[in-house]
Amino acid sequence: MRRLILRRLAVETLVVGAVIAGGWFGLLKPLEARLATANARQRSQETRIEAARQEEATRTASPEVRLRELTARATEVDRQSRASGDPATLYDTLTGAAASHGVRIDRLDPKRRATSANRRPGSKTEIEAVEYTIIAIGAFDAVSRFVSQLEHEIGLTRITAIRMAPRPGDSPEEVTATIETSHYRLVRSLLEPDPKPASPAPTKRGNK
Amino acid sequence: MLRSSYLCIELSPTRLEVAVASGRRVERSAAMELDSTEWEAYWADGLMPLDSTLAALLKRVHARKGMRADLFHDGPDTVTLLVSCPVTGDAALRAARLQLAEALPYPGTCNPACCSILSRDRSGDPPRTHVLAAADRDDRAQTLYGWLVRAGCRPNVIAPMEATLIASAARAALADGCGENDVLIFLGERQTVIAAGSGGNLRCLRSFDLGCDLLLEALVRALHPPGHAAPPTPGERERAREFLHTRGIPERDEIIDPSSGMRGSAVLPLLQPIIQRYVVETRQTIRFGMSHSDLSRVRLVLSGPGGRIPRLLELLSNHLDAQTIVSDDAPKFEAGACAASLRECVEHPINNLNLLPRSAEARRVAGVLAGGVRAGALAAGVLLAADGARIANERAKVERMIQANAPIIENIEMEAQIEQRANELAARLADAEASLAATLGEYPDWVATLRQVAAVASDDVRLLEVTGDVGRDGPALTIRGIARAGASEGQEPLSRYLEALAASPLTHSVQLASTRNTVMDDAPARSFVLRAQLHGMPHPIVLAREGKP
Repeated sequence: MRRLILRRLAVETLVVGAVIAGGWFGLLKPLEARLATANARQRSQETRIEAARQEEATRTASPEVRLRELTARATEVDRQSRASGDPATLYDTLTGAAASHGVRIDRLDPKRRATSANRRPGSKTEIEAVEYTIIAIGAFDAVSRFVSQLEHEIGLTRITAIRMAPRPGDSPEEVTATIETSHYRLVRSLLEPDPKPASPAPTKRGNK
Repeated sequence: MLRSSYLCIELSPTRLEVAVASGRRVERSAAMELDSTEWEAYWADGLMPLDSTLAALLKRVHARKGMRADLFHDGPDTVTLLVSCPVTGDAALRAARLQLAEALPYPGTCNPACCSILSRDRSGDPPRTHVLAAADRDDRAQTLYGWLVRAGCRPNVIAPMEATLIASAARAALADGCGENDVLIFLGERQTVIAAGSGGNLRCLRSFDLGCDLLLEALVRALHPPGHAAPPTPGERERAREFLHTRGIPERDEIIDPSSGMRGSAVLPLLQPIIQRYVVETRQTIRFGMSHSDLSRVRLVLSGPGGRIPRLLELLSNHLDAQTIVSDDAPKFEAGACAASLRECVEHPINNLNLLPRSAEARRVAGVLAGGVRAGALAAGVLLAADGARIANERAKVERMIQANAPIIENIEMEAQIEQRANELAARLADAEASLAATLGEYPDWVATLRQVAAVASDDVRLLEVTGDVGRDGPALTIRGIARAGASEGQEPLSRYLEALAASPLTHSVQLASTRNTVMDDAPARSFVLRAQLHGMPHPIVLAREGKP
């Protein structure tokens, strides 16, 4: 009788204990875990907000303004690059400029150069250059204005050498100018993001 | 305050009484006289012969089914002791248990036994603790338990009647009103307790099986018509009880039954031996239990249910030759009212004195434990639920905060993306501008230089060829021309031309590379070659970069 009562009590205690333990581990523990996760997320948010506030306090310009300024600069560089980089446009520009200043183009010899020669060590920027030898004939002032336009208005252009001599013969007022120019172009626009490095091709593994 | 009522039942060989009590007060009671000669037979039949009597009494007091019942009885194997020991607390209880185990005629371990601390002496070295110890055989306790259960009661306490009597006697002896020479004689139904105390100390206490039930039985036998085969009826017993408590011990010539003309002389031979036993037991107790045995110095104080039996006081006083009085606390007999002994059980219950059968005790303990387990489970469930609710509430609060922060975080992330794009663009731009600066390098303002070279040349200087290049040493200009020869030293046009060129802000230095005498317009002249190092300046795109972040 006594043993029976004790056994029943033990079974009841075990069942109750199991139910409580089940409730604890099955319901409360996962709830607590979720709460801990939510707390961690909230703390992480607070930390991030605080860090952003501190960063904002030390920043002179907002990221939007900075990006706008940088984009404007990049656009300007790109524009100049395009002005001096496209051969057809460049030819038109050169001949147009000469005509506008009353200068005759006697010779216009383009010469392409490799892009790698213009790359700085460690730089990702690729610059393509086209060199021209221009023989222009005209009055000194007209040739001067033509050279000035070459220097300042045709994008990334550099005059590497110039030789000017009076034109012999019937036109003592005219000069013959031999101008060697380099016209540079950025191979890739600055507004294009950097190309992602190509991921290595997946290798096949044999099934064992 | 609402008090739940309960049943208080007294079972003795001569009487079965049921009272409904509430708190410490008897509300109603009913009793039935029993034939003491059937006592052994009742027990032999598991008290089943008393089932109907108990049921009738319960009905009379309007007892509910399942009502809690405290049973006080004079069972045949009940042992009750008062143990006085010079220790306290658990030690006193252990000592009492040991003494009880020694006094029991049956094993104490497998039968219900319990101890209850009654009181402690006020003085002494050390003061003694008085422990009431009681035991019964388990089969007797089970019989009583089963009897109550059969009657529809819920057994709560089963205790010996003698324990209540001893407790009352001890309480009276320890009371402040008890004098040094006072000997208290508690006349119970089945037992008598003699106790003496002074100054809050219990000096002696003795209990013996001699109660006023014996006087009652003698009267019942005397009053029962002679020659009747049938046993005395409960009514006859009731009348005899009333006679005992109202008229007491009769005089020799006193007519005790007017219908039969019976005189006291017919009863006295039956009562005399009982009184004689009272005298002997009292004398022995005083002789062995008290420090002085001189009865002339002793005052006997009668109390208990039989304390007010008329003429008993006088007889004891005469036989013992001692001053005898009746205690003011001795209960008065009221016909049909609850018996004094049962009322005492209700009014002065003894804590922790319970002789429930071991199985019932085990069941009760198991019930308490099971209740505890269920209560614990309920509490745990409530706690789990409360904890769950707390966690859920806290999580909801945190989620609300996360939701509130979400737009800010989104903004921060957007700004971070913009910042990253700006950084990438800034890096690309810086790289491109640095590359362009390195590629374009420095070169002079060719137009300004050519104009300057032409402007400073006078009529005496004729320029034949101007060549500019950007060499390793920076931009330089080579000028080939002819200058007239000067009239004197220091008046050379070539020298002035050199000075004017050197003074130009566009030139860094001017050197005469070679001169040779020649003729210009039939006049002496010098052909010359000049080399001028020019100041270089970066390309406008590079200049625009400088001064910007």
